[in-house]
Amino acid sequence: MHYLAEGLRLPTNVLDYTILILYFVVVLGVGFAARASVKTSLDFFLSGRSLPAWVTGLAFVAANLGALEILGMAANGAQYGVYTVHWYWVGAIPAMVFLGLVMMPFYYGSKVRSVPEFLLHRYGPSSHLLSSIIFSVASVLIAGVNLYAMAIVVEALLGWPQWVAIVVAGLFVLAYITLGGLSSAIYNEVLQFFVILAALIPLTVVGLRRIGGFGGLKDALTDSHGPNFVSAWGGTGIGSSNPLGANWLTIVLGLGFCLSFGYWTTNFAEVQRALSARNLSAAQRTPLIAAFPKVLIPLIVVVPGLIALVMSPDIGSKTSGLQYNDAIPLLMSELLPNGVLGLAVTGLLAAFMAGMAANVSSFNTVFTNDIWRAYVRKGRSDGYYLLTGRVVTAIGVLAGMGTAFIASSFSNIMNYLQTLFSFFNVPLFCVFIIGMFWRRATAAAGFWGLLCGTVAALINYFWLYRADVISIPSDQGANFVSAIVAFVVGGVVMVAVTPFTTPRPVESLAGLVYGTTAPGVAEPPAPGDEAWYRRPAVLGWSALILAALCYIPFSL
Amino acid sequence: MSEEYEYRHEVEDLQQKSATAARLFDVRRIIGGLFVIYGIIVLIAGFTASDADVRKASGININLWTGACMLAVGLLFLLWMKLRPLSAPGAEPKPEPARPGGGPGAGPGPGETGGREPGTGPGEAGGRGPGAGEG
Repeated sequence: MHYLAEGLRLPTNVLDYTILILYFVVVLGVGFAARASVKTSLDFFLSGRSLPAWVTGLAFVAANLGALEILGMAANGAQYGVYTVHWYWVGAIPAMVFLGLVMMPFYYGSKVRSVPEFLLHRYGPSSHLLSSIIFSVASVLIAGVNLYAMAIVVEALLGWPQWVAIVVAGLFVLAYITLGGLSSAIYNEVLQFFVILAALIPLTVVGLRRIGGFGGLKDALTDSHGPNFVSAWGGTGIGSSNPLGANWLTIVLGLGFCLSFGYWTTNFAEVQRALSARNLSAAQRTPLIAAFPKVLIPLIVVVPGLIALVMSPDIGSKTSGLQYNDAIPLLMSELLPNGVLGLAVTGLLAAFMAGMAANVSSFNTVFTNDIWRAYVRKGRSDGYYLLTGRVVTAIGVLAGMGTAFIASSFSNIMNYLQTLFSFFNVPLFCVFIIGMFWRRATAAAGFWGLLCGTVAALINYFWLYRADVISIPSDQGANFVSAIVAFVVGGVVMVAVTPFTTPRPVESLAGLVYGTTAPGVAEPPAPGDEAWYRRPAVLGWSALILAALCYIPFSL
Repeated sequence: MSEEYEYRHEVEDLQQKSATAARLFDVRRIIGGLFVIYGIIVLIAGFTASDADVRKASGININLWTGACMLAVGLLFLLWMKLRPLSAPGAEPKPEPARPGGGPGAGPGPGETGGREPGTGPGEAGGRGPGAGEG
């Protein structure tokens, strides 16, 4: 049970609450203002495919920068040390670049409205329905996790009862998405991105100053935890032990390939942002633009986790009453005076709401288009589906409130999320990548690959690992291994099933498989997109090189 | 063309009818406006900071610095919007108007939220993005 110490109650005053209330007003205002732009279901679900790349790019990174991510990664920083950077530089950037450069032409170019819809056209209804249901359930669960975590944090920091926090945040998210649809969610995400920067940068600056800068941080941690704690790869040899419970192979394959590619390239909460871009070039640039802030985010998320460990060395132990997840709240209460404190609280709440909004706005799209419209009520008018989307939004938020309690059985919230992702996204990525590059892969192969991969990961995690049949030192290490298992099983099953089943006719795969183009849908590039700095390849490779360079100071 | 492509026509059709491009307001106005207001509030807190406030923040008057940076970022967003406004609604999304020339004044702006690196990426991305000035 996650529990924040009483001592974290923040000394908030009128100034802080002014800043917070102002934000809530603006969030709602964005919803009302965006309502005028919602005329069709495409406006509601995909912003009419008309947004510029810098907006979708920042929303792409902000959708991932929920409060769970922020608190969880700071917690991982305090618990595992500098190893946490792997979640960014190996565990995000390559996948984001791959999404932009390789996969986006299939997604955007084929004009699908969701990730599951791609499965429908590539493989057929069985895998489509399976994936849509898994995604819908997972989205609601994650929204619930988010709400529950927020309620605990808000209760500890501000003294609000948990139900108040859940109701207030839930209803605000419900209101602004129901009103303005995805545009409203995306605009609020862009706003939230900057508010989070404004909250975390002062926190990091003051914290670093307190403990004597990066030099002081490194010295203090080396003294207390040894040199491997401040290195990215030290102690990750196969067979050697480290706090993460993983070796370089499971880090690179499990986290860097399976988990990361699964999350970034097939999680519709992310991909949806790119699908709302105004043309293919902007869609490709969405994850690539997002990659640059993503490279630098550890500076304001993982570093505060490390600072918290130096300032309160017994954090995470039974005696201190402080959990790793309390790292950032601890710094807020110790370091920030009123004013900036209100900003930090606002940033945290903004992050919670945006994280939840990303889940809700992708959930309503998949449920309405891929379940309701495809299998329950076909062929109605566009206005009918627009209304359905709004109703489903409300249902999704209410269901998220109801499932908030599920989060309570894991000590580290991040583990829970990673666990869900390793089950739901990795097999999906496996099916996608094989489907995009192997024309022969059949509908049956897609369905069975998806199902077997998911089941294999569940078996590996809950049976083999939890019941100690195989020995993996930590939950994170087990997640990495489960992800590899899901990918391999999914892939093997697909290859095994394909020869015995009928392939889809070649003409139905145009634009969905590598080496084919969809007839008559090529869009002319927008003027200005030829500029060298807007070329996806330049952006993508720059992000990769930047991420690799970031490893150098932590590897020598 | 077979029914396989029906959904594509539907999406194209909806895209034609879509109102987002024409009627969605400019997000830079919201970011700029909120950051200017926040900047002023926090700046005032900085001017009236007590010794205890400064001591708590390791000897930095963090409200002053944060407020000033946020104000600057907010103003840069508003300036960027002024220099490269959204094109007039009603224009077809396909034949996009030529981009206005000139440097994006607010390019690196958002990056300077706190005068530190983490924002530089998005800031530059903003500057060289497709230019919110297009329809």
